[in-house]
Amino acid sequence: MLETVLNWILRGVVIAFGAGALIALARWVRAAIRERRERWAIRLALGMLVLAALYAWGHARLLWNAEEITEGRMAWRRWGDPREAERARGDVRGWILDCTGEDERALARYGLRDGEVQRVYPLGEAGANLVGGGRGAEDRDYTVERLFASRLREPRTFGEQSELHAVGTDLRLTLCAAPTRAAYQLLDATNLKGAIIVQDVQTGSLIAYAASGGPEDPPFGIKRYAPPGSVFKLAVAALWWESGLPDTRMPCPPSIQTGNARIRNFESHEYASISIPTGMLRVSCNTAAVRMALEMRERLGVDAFRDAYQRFGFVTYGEGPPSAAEPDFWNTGNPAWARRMTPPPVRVRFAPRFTAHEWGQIAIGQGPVDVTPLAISRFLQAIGNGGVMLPPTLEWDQLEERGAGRRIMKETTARNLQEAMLTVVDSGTAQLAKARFANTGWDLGGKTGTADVANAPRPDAWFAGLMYGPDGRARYTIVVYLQRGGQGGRAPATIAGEMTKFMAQQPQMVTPGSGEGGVPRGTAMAGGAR
Amino acid sequence: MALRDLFRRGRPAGPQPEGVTVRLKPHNLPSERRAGRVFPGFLWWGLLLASAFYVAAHFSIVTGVWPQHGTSPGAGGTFIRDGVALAAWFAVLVALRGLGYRGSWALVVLPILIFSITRPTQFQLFTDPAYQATGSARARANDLKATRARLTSIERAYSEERRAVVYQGTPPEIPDPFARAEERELRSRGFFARSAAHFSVFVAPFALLVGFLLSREPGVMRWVRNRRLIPFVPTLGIFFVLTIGFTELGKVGRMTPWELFLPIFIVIWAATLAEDAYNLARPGAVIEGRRLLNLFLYGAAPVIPFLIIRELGLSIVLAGSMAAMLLVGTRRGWWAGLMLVVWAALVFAAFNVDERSATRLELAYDPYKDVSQMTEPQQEAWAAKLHQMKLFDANVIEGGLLGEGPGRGHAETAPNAADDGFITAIATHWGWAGAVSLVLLYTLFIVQLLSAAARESGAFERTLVTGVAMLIGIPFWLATLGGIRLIPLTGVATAFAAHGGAKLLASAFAVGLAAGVSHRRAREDIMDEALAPPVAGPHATGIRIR
Repeated sequence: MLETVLNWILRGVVIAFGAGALIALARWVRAAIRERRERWAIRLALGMLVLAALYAWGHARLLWNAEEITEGRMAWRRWGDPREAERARGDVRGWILDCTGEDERALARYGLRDGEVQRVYPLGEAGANLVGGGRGAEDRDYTVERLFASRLREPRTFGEQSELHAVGTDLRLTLCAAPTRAAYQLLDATNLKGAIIVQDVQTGSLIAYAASGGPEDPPFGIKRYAPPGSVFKLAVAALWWESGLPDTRMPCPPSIQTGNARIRNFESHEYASISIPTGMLRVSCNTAAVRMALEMRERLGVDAFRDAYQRFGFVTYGEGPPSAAEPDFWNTGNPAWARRMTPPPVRVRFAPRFTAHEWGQIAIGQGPVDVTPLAISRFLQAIGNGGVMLPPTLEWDQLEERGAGRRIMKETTARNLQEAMLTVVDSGTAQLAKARFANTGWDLGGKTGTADVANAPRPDAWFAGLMYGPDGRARYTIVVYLQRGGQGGRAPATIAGEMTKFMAQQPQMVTPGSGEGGVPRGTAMAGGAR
Repeated sequence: MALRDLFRRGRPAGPQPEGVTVRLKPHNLPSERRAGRVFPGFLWWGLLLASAFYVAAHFSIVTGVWPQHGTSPGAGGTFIRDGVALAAWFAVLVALRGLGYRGSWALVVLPILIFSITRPTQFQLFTDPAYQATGSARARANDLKATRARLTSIERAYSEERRAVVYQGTPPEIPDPFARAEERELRSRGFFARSAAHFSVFVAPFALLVGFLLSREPGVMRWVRNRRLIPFVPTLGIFFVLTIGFTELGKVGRMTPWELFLPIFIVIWAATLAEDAYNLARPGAVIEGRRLLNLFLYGAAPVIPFLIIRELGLSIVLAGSMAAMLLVGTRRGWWAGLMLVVWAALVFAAFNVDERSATRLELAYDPYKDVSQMTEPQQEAWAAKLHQMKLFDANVIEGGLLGEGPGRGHAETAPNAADDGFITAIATHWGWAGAVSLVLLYTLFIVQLLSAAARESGAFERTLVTGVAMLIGIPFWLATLGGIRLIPLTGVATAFAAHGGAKLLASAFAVGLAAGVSHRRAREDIMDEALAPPVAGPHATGIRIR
């Protein structure tokens, strides 16, 4: 403390000398001109002053371009950078704590390894993709460790400011170590590329995130586009209820002719009559979804779709795909995080002249529809939160800053969707999941997705759902995406069931929405713009 | 004989005068002249503040940096050396006061202020365990230093519970960062080189005193003017012999003594100009055999050895100083135009012919080339060249606006942060504000030297002090502007602010010369005024007769 004060006084003394010199120089020049001293001396002195001004500008220019220069320096880092080496090895950054805030569960901390105190990442590869560490840690550019580096190096107290190696400030995340580890183990067991995301429904905070991908890859579940398949039927059903169309019944034939082409059900399933929209979601009937979409286009017009999708957080486009990411996607206090980690927008192409087939393809999440797992999770969070969408966050400190959220659908629509999703697990395409969390008191609802990808041997597989606590309240979203994973109702649904079981077995776990040390329950609902 | 010669102390020229020695008492001096004898108040306070700063900054480094990074061998000696240096500077001020110094006190005090503000940065660099270590010893010292830093930080800031999570058992031993590097470092530099580097710091104040004592004596200066070939020929001879025969990579026995020659050449060049300023001011008269020979011998020949050892920076310093002296001595603008043309041609040639200069130009303006556009060998080669510059940039950026504090940051990781990149080390510790403050202080110092030169009426004194101003000013600007990549780095040392024993000694001596000249001017002004015939003024006309 005393040292900090002393060092600030010393800085003041240096600046005082500069100010004194400037005054003396100004007085000298004034006197020299007034007294008409020798011209050459005045000229040389003015030249020196110009050089001093040039220096001040040149130095400021380096500071102004600091980011660019640092980037350039980093590009040449692999040929040796003792400064970075010393910082990496000598600095004591803040710890990255998980949702519990306990030192023992820290996601990044210091620990003794090979007789030396090193930065350790207890999650290992499970956290490497988002937190940092793991294989090729130095090359990971999308991690909390990298993007929050300045925060983690910020002196934790005023007294630390004067220290040569100031001990940095801790960062508490909403991410929980245990479910993240569990999610990674489940994902790893599939030997497939993919992502598993668990998000708190009431706060929008990320609870678990596991994804595959090498050190140089952007986070698979956040930045990578994938075709959503039947998961997108949730949006079609939401629009049905949003538009006030009544529940009805429709046949579910094995295929439907749309223009010059046919759209088939998965494995050409057929049902004589199913309820619309709930039954369509339960059995994931493509033909009924296409019929619903065509009927709604007929009755509501294309603009209704466009408006609804925009409201759900999806971007519709005509000619060129949109490039700009959603600026406020994250609830974050870190511009670097927002800049680097904002996912590309979910995009749906609305061609100027649509054929019926193209329209049908969109309804079942094929064709010109690109989503990211995190964006799907956000959509589900809104469904679980009574129609109010909250920006996802990873920072505990930001939970208080999350605001009221944005209502994207009516509360009744959200409730209807939740009920329909419960039937999907209970008696629909995701029945395999049911056995996994039986007798836990928890429940799971969701929607499976099986998305065909051109030239791929197997389709991409999805499960997008909500986990319900014993009180029947939607607690967490669960999104499982497996590239080339086959049927959504198999591995992804099973993983979702396992995750539900896991979450049910963690009654003491403090998560942002659990009400223990976190944000009171129902805040978003109460404050939400209805 | 001029009237004022009667009152000069020491050996008057010619036969002994028959006259009386007038000793003026202070109360007989005109009031505005008395100010010259008194140490000006603002300088006194500045000196006091700078001394307090010097002590406090050293204290802060010893208590805040040493425990975390450890120290280099001889750090304690460096600490004592710095203490002695401060005492020596004060001793010189006392000595000057005792010798009745009447010149501009700013000339003497400003270097001390600059020294006081910049020395803590040098102190931190030279007491760092890794800064002076070389080769594998440096890598090892860096490793141990980092380990020590981390462990001491954890010990300092973590609670017992958190430490238990970190260590999960017995904490590791805090290593001595220089235990292994010490021996190698000591072997890598010769005893004489190390001693010279240490001694120059506290010998410098006395070099200033010597410069003063010599230049205040009219006889000595007169001898130099009249017999300039006697000091010039051996100096130039030694210079040539050293540069041609004993130089390896611009150094003689791991030392760079070149700066020591510069004040001598400057004095002799001032004498040459003083003798022939009138003719040199006339274009027609310049084209004359003897004059051209003089120009070549005293003006160009001293620059040649620098070109032989490819010391582009020092050649710019010497040539620039001499050019400015020529300009001031002759007061002819066309000299400036001619010199500019020659200078531009030389720079063009240097950057086109000399590969090292061309590289430096590239490093200044386009350092971070696109890696993907280069082949592997090209990348290797450029990375080696870029190494120093990228660390200088990192120093500046780390300091930000207000700096990290005394000795804080990681300036020592940049090679030559104490000399070529001294301004970047200052920037790390004191930030933009501190670096600009130092630049302003230095600017004030150079302007004060120019001001002292302008007060001189004699061609010799005027050109000499101008030469001293340039000798100190040009390297400063080359180093500071080079450090922030506004111009290519030239590798010249900066007096009083950066490392460089020879530079410090030479500059202190040169400042002493300027102080001596300033002192003589003040004394002569006082004498002239005191002995001027009475003029009819209000005090003479206003006699009241009762």
